[in-house]
Amino acid sequence: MTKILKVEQITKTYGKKGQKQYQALKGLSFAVEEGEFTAIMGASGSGKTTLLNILSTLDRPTSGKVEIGGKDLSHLKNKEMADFRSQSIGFIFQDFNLLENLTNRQNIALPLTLRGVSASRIDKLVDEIAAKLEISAILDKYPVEVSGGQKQRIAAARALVHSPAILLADEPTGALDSHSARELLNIMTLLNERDGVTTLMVTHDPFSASFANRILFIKDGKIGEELVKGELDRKAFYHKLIEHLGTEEE
Amino acid sequence: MLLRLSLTGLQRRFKDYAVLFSGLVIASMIFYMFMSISANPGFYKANVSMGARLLPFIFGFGNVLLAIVTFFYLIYANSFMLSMRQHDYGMFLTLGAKRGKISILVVMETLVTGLAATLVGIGLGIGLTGVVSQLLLKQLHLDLTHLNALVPAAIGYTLLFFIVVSLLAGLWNVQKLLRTKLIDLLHEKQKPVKLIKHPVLRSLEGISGLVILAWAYYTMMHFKVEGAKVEFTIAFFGTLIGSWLLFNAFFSTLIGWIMNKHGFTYKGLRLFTLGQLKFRLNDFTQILTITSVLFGLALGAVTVGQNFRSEQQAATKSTYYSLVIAHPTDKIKQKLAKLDHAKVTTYHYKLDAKGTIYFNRKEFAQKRLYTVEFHPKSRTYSYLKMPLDQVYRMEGDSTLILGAVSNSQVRQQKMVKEAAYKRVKGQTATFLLVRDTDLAKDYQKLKQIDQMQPQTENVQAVNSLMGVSTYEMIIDLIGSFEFMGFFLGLAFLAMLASTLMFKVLSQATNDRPRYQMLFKLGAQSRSLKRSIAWELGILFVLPGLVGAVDVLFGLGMFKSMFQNPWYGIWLPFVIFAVLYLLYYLLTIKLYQKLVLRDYQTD
Ligand SMILES: Nc1ncnc2c1ncn2[C@@H]1O[C@H](COP(=O)(O)OP(=O)(O)OP(=O)(O)O)[C@@H](O)[C@H]1O
Ligand SMILES: [Mg+2]
Repeated sequence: MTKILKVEQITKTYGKKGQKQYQALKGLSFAVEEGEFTAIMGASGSGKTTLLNILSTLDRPTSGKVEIGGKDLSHLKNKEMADFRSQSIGFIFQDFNLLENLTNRQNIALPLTLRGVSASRIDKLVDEIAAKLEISAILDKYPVEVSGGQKQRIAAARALVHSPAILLADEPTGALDSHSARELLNIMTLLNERDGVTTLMVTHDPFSASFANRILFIKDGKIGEELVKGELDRKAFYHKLIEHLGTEEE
Repeated sequence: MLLRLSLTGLQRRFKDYAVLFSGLVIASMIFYMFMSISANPGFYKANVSMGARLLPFIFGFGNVLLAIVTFFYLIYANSFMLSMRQHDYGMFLTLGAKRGKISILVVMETLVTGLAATLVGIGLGIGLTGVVSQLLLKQLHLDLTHLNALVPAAIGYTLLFFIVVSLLAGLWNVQKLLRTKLIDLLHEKQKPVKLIKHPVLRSLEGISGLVILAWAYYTMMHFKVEGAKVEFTIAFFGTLIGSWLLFNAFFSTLIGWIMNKHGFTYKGLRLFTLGQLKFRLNDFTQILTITSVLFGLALGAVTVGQNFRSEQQAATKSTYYSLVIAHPTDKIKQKLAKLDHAKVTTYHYKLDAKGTIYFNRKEFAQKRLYTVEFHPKSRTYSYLKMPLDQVYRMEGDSTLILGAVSNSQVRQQKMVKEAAYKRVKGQTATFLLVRDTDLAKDYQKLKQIDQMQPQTENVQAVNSLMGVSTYEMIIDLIGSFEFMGFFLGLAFLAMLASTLMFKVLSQATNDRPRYQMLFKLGAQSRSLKRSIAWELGILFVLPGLVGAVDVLFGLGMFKSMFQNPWYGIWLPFVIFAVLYLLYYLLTIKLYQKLVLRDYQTD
């Protein structure tokens, strides 16, 4: 198995030198294999978003090394980072982050237009991914015309339409009701199992995390323990996770 | 406590605040300058005897328009201020400040800012009016003696207007603030778009806009003075309504149609730029309509003002003689001889001891007097010899000219046959009739020559109707119109462009999340900047373009007044384009800084 994501000893310090500084990440390391569905859990303020921003090249680590798909991100210029984002990374955010002034179809097409894919090919790819996510019927509506769950599936389609090396999701179910959340997680699982989409999801919700194969716990800016699903089914994994969290609290 | 918070907030956004403040200063300065002319009664009386009836009307119209534009300007400028500060206000609320307290703070901030800016603006306005009246008026050969820089009434009006509107804007901001949830104050959110329902109806709306506009244009081109009121109403409201429909429906429908052409739009950020534009156009319908119509009026004002200059040459033909010299001296004769375009005719007369002046019929038969005939149809003048019997009886136009040599000691004037003339005992004297065919070049010199003869009542009376005076009066009038046109036009343009600017900038907080999203999706910050330049460029160009077309047709209404109403139109177009471009560049610079703030950029 190849490692699609490698994180080595990254630190992140907020605040300029001489001013009040805060170290959010303190030498954090882990790796994700191709085709894995990994969840990262941690309390509020533990550095989850900070980590994801660094992985998605929106921010740079203060020190340490990040490699995605064999590419070392530390030496990329800002311009190259943007290109890298548009090619190798798919994003899902808690609050959907769809552009309200574009139709769902146009939203999904956007990452492809940024990469200069031809129009006919874009149409084909958008239709394909929409079929997979069961949103073909609402493609020509605007985001305000569809439900939260549908919005997040549009967002997922947009994140995956250009076949990125890795899908990064920051609390993707945070703004969804439990029914829509379950639907989305099922689809993410399906995409992971059937199409082998490597997924890294950040969450503090145990139910969402239980859909992953592996859960990493982030604490005080470092990766602490790790929980692996192995042969367990989702429910059993969920109980194991709850148990684990229970012992953590004590 | 709140005051200190307020001040630190302003400090943090100092640059944005500076833009707002200088905008307000410029607005109040223009307002004051306009007021200093229109609220100055001496101005009309002293300068424009002939156009006196027209000028107050033009100024009144201008006043109303300027007030409207300034009003919108202040509202938008203040909503920009609110959008800039809403995060701070949200912070105050979370810190436990009462909404009532904050409302007072908002009104105070708006008022203090407005008042301070207005005072500075008036100060600058006084200075600039002084400079302008010196420079510009001299350039235009104008002698606006009553154009004072410091007009107390104008200061009063300007202050009053700006305080009242600032207060209104403050209250408007307060009610907007009170209606906004705290969470929305603190977090930047995409502004929810208003979806376009019934696309078919929309397209119909857009097309009817085009039709109405075409009808208005047709009316303008076939404008007749007889049906003027009806036609003017059609032209004005047709343009207004047509433009509104155009901006509300036509352009967004057009963009929607373009967006469906995937081959064209699926490239880089084109999709986003168009989507942004489509909804922005709907949001901006009102301001774009006002901008385009007033843009047209402003351009029209400048062009028409300029057009009077083209009439100058034609208008000087309304007189045959340029100057009457009733009391020539050798010096005067020498000076006249130096003027190439001046033809001088010398006449003789005798004054006897009883105070009677005698003219020689034979001389007037040999050197005929001329009179002017006007042909209203072709709007031309022709010159005819005065009928001799009329001259002999000293009737008609000859009365005036021959009267020039008379004075209070003269009892009577007679025109007699040559034999009789020869018998008259008395001093022989001469008078000169000067006709100059290039008054534009010579009128200043002729004026000086006129001053070399004694300015008796009769001399003044006759020369006030001759070519030199007429010419002077006409260029005076033209100058006034030109001055008005340029002043009004440029003032409007400045106001309109900056109103549009502030409207755009006040949307920046709502647009920010979108650009952030695109950035996360991997759009280069260079492409984002380019997208902004395109979007705002089209947003600026559309009303400019519609306004320009409005003018081109609108000038058709002046066909009966001028030979070519479009004369020299390129000049105002170029000036406007340059100024407008500057505003556009300033807007994208500021907007880019606001929406792309704190991204990594190379
Ligand atoms: N731009 C910033 N400047 C300074 N400190 C920051 C910044 N962003 C985050 N932090 C701090 O870094 C720490 C980690 O923040 P982060 O947003 O990564 O947490 P999180 O795990 O995502 O929390 P949550 O579950 O609430 O989203 C927090 O203590 C936060 O206050
Ligand atoms: Mg977070």
